[in-house]
Amino acid sequence: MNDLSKNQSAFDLSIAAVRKKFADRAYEQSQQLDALLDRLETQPDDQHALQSVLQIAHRIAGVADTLGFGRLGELARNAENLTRTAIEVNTRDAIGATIQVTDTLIEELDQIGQDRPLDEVGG
Amino acid sequence: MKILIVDDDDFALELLGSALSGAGYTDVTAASSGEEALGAVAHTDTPFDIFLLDIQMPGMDGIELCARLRKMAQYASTPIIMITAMQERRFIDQAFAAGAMDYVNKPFDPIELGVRISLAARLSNQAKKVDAYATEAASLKARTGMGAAFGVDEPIALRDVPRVISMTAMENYLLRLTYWMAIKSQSVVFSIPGFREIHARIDPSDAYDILSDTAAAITVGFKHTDHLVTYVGNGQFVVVVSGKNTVIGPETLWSIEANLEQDPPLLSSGEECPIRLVMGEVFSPGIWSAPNRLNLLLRPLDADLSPAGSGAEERARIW
Repeated sequence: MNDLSKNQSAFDLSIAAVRKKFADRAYEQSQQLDALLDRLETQPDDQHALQSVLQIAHRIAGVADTLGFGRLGELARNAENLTRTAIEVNTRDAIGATIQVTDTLIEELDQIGQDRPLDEVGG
Repeated sequence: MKILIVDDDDFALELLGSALSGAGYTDVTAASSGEEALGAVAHTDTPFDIFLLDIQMPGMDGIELCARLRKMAQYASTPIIMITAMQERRFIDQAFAAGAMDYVNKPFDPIELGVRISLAARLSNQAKKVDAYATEAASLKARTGMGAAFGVDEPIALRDVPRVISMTAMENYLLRLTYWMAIKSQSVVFSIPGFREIHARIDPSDAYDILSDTAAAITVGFKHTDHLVTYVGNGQFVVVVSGKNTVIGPETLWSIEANLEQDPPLLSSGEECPIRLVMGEVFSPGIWSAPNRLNLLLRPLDADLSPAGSGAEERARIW
């Protein structure tokens, strides 16, 4: 096994622990995004809520693929890009698109949270 | 190799730590904000060798942190690698303009990260040698009034000039541009005719000041554009401009020369050193040349910048 393969194996081992923690937090992030979408549905130009969605999506996008959650990473990147646009242009259409993609992101987070092995769910 | 990683996301910090550890780098300090990073820098006994900074963080972002680190003499040439999920060119340009040496995309590949860190580690060792050399040169200058020599063709790093980056950083910057970013760029060379003769006749610290002042004047000439400048040796500077709409022509050269005329480099003797420049042809990548991003750096250097009529002989007589 060459050095690069050894590095990859060591990384794969440590990733499993981070992946578990990430899945544990998926539900929490889903709840946070859900609350932010509720705010945006009643007050679409709530800049603070948009900034918070952007921050959460950005964080998920930064690590999801490395942790093996490819679809989540893609959705998070879409949510991040659309939210950034919504903050810049501040139109009803742009905010609507943000809400739509964030909804899908929430579904995916919920799925990841539910897919944890049973012995992990109890903590 | 002592590394400081800065990211506001604890998962990202953990993954970076694991990837670095897997690549054999275990002396890693983590900070979750720019402010915390500055605290770690202030309180460390032995300086950091490499920084890995996330760009987008609440409060002080990675670009501001990078600029602050660069202002510290101790970290003027330490490799700083930006980590970003943002593909927009303005963020990449800002990161390099602030003094980043390289950047890695998020989500990152641990093997790629390991390779980039080992390159940065090599650069860090070189930077330490350069810093030791600079300290020695300053001491020599204080004792003898003469600075330490550098080769005329050496692409020395010009510090403290905004938007002027080292040649290594420029190469990394170009290699990280996408095809479309490259195709929407232009580059051009500016050359000090007769620099070889100037370099041979004056004190090296004066030669450095001439290059530094010229680079500063070039950046002023491009002040309304997104641009980066690098010094490639032999009195030549390459400017890479983002966007095809910027007109680079004789007016650009006049504006730079006007700046140099208004504020000419001063030699240590107190004499002014008038500098003129020659501008090459503007290089604009086409569909065939854009895939090789380094063409933006190399092609302008093919331009015929012969000193005929450029006043080089006259200056060679003066100096």
